[in-house]
Amino acid sequence: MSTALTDLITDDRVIIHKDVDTWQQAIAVVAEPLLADGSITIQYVKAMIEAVDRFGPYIVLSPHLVLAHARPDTGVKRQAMSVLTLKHPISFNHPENDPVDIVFCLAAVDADSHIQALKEFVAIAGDRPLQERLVAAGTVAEFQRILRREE
Amino acid sequence: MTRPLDICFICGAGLGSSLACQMEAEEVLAAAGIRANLGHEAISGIPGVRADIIVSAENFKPTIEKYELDPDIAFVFLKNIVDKTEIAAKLLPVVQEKEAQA
Repeated sequence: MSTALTDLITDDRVIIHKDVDTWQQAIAVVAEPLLADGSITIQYVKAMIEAVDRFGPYIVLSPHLVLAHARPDTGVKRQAMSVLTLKHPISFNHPENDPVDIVFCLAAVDADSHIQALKEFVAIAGDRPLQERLVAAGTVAEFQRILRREE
Repeated sequence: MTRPLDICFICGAGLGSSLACQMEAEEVLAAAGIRANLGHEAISGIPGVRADIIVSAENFKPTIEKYELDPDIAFVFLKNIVDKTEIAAKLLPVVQEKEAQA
């Protein structure tokens, strides 16, 4: 059974208006809630950073937006997603899509049980005006209302 | 009726960016009335990939080109892997060319 994006991104997995200096820090910070609730291990955080070191910043899926992720076997315990908005946008060294101001983290358990969530995510990735409203959100509750299209 | 083309989407882990790209391409191909078999795979699995077309992000190009792959495979490299306009502009001509060969 496929889970919706908004079921995966619970209130405690939303971090808003944070300041970070580097893309590595952005990945570490967005992963914190998933580490705290046991969805992933510290090894998964390292794997997400190593994937970018190895292959370049392909996780910058569209302008200003990142989907940090790695393989399930690098430390995913349970399917989950978290999100971080940045107070000051940072560079991921992407030739086209920098600077980044919103970072999602996907912990997938296999190749396709997150299809429904990813479909909803792709719609967000293609909707910059929606992302701008998410980035501007001042509270987790406001962020969630915008994500859930309740306002 | 020619057989549907096999199109494989490649990224680092084989489940995030490649699947996102596959979803967007699915809509682009459907809108163009093209039937194709779509799949996604991690870059480490690329030596085993049997496909007519491989689609990936620009930054995987150097890694993919290191593998000795079937010379009949056509490649499409994208800057924005979830941009339907770019997917349509780059993928559709390759699909049409492949279908003409078949």
